[in-house]
Amino acid sequence: MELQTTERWELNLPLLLMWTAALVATFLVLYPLLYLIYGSFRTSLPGDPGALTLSNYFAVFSSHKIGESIFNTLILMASVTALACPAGVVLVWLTTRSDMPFRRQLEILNIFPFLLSPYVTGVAWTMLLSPRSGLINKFLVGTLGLSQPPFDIFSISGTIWVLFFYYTPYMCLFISAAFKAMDPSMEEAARTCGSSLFRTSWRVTVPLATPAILSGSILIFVHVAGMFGVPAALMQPKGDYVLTTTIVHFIQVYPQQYGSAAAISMFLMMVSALGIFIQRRVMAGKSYVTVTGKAYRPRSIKLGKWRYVALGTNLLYLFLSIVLPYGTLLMVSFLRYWSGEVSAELFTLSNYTEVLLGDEAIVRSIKNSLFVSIIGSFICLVITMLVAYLVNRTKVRGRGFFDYVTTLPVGIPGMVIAVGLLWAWIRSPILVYGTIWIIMIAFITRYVPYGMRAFSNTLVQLGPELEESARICGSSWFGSFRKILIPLLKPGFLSGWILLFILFMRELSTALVLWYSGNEVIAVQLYQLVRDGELSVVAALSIVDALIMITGIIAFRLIFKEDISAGLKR
Amino acid sequence: MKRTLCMSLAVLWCAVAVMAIGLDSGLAASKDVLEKAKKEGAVVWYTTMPGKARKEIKKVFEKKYPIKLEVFQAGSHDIAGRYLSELAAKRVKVDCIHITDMVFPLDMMDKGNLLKYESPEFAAYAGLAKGWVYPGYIYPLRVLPIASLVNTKKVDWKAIKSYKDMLVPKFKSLIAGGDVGTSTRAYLNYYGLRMKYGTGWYKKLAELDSKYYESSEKAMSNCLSGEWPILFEAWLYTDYQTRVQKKAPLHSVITQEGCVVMPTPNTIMKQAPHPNAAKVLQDFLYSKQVQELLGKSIGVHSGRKDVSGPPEMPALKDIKVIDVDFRDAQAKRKELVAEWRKIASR
Repeated sequence: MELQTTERWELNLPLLLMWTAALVATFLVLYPLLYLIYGSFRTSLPGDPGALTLSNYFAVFSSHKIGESIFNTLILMASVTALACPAGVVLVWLTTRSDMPFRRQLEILNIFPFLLSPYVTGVAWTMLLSPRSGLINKFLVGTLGLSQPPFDIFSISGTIWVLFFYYTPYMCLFISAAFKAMDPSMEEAARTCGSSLFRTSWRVTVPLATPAILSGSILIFVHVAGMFGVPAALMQPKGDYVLTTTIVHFIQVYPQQYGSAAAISMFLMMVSALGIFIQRRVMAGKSYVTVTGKAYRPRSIKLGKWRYVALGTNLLYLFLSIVLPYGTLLMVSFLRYWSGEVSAELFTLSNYTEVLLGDEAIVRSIKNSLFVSIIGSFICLVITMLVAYLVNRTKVRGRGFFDYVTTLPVGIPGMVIAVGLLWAWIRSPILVYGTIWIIMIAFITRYVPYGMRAFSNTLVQLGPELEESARICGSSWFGSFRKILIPLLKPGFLSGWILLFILFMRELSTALVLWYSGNEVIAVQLYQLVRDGELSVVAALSIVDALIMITGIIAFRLIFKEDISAGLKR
Repeated sequence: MKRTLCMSLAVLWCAVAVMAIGLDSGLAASKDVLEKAKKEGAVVWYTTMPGKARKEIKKVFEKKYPIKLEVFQAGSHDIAGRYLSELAAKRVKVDCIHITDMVFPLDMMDKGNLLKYESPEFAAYAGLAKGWVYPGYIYPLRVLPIASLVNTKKVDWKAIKSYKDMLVPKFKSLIAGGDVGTSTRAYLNYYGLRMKYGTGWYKKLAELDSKYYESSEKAMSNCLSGEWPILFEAWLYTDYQTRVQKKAPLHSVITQEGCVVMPTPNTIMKQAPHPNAAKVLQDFLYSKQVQELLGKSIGVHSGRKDVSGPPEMPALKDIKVIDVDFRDAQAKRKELVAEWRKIASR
């Protein structure tokens, strides 16, 4: 859709808004990124006396086990994507397109594993699957008389297992709006022509949701590369490294070699750019429009006898992803310490009293987290909505550039982008360093790609004729935007808001580098407790944290009278 | 006689007068610093101090002085990186830094980034080991012995008297420690044990399928769970926080070889925006009151002569110390870490 109208102010104002949003997003991303790139070619910190050099790159690519790190990283990226994406598609299809029993309730429950930080989930799984002390291993060895424990969480397969449960709901959140906004007439036509249920799903439904599936897959693929906590906890004890744990060798020493850490990040950033390039190539010249001016009524696909098989599959997923890890954490949160055994002697409520009453900083961190997460994620969504419109609905020059730029942060590990943000904003003429605003800026910068993908997916599926009809009937651009596009984008906007709210609530890497006394967030408090070795208190705070997010989601539904990724009713 | 008496009285009077002037000037100086500190209103402290002690220090300090104590807690390397970034941007916000490392403070002292201040409290720290004190700049705020930690439900801790006692087949795949490449504590332990045994001890340890952690907290958790019941290097205070305070089944072992001890100083930065408040905080942190508080709340040892060790823990004077030259350790770090990586196949 081209923005052309006889009234000049109407032509300029929307474009002006979109361009402003695009420039703000570009500035937010490029400002720290350029510092990182500059830093990767410096012998010292930006601002300190030093010279330009390539030695950081030589140091990285001649460093110990770099080949193995890259290999392990690629294995992790490919395996987690290959497992989580199909699982997410199946779960979303079951809860949005089929007549599976309890699908509405299950749709909400399916995203719960995403509420816990992957690091905390990893801790929970070590309590279950550690070879010697894991509860499941001990149970199986005891009951089946095995000579060896069957599972070992301290391995690359253990890491894949934990990340699979973390990224599956991530995929669900990402694609559910696209599945719900889909016109079912094409599926029904296929069914009428004799196509089987699975053939229809495979040949019609999934291809129609390709933009969202591809976006989600690419984001997961790239995001896995930036994961630190889980590989560090589960792979490092046995000497297996990925790129992020290799980066630590350059940062967790004195003097720190930030240049080398930045150099590794350049590699990850290229992976990210390559991902978005592939996505654009795959989608180039194809139409994925499924929402047109023609009226339609979404209907569920009848599963017949498969209904209960589907329900069983979904419940098994929930048992493994929620009941086991959350249940373990809940149990440990009532123990004085975790010793691999549960006994009444160890029972205590003190972990909860410490979390809820023991420290004013924890209460302050909850308030700060809610403030940054609600306001920050909203700002992020407004910016990305406008940029996504500019990229997907106009033909202005440079829109591809904005698409690339706003995707770059996804490939950079949090701990490295945090350093770029610190370097950039500490010397900014806008005095935000040491305030709550730098935390908000950092979170928005880090999660711009998520807002962009969420809106781009939806916009690609919406045909332009609805807006065009409104314009022909005399509506202004704002009028058609408000009356046509906003209602259609609403499910995507709301699911995007919840997604970002959760991500903002959990964000640690950037907060850890940029927080300051008085503006700490929950993730920072959690990290400090982990540092203090208080695993039971960590479990208690994680449960409280998850409850806050669940309350947030429920409040969100009540306030907006909308499902998290609503649309089925439309 | 009368003359002698008069002379004696005069001398006595002069001595009293000199003492009074001296005392008065000392008091005036502290009063002056305190007044200026009150006007500064706040002091910013970057520290690795664990939560419980950190919170108590803040509470007691703010009750005692009308000065706000702003605390930023993170890992040693995060704090060093943050300060250096602030310095490069010429926007230093921090007044005092306390990290669990000796190398960074020494480096900052050499580069002229520390403010010289001789706190009256430092007099109580006389007689500490060479290399722990640099007058006017560096005194140990915490003294941290590195000991082994054993899960008493899985392993007989009394049977381990020497580091060599761990190198037996029955302990295969039961031993863990910190990653020498990323943990300063693990590196200093490697440096110290290497002086005792060369690289032989670590080579034999590698043959026993030992595990290495990037974080001591995770290592402690897995020791307590019984996954890796022998943690061959850990902070001694972990024993106090688990065994003494929580009655958990862990026990520290200080072997007959002794142990490496790391003094961790609190330093005032030269660019401190609140230099007087920083001096007040320095006096406070090194006082007997705070040193006793640290012992009781988190089980760390003090360098003060008039403060005994944490309850139920060995006294510092009874611990045999393996001497470490911190400057030499830092100079050889890259080379020795590479050596360790080869031994441990990491």
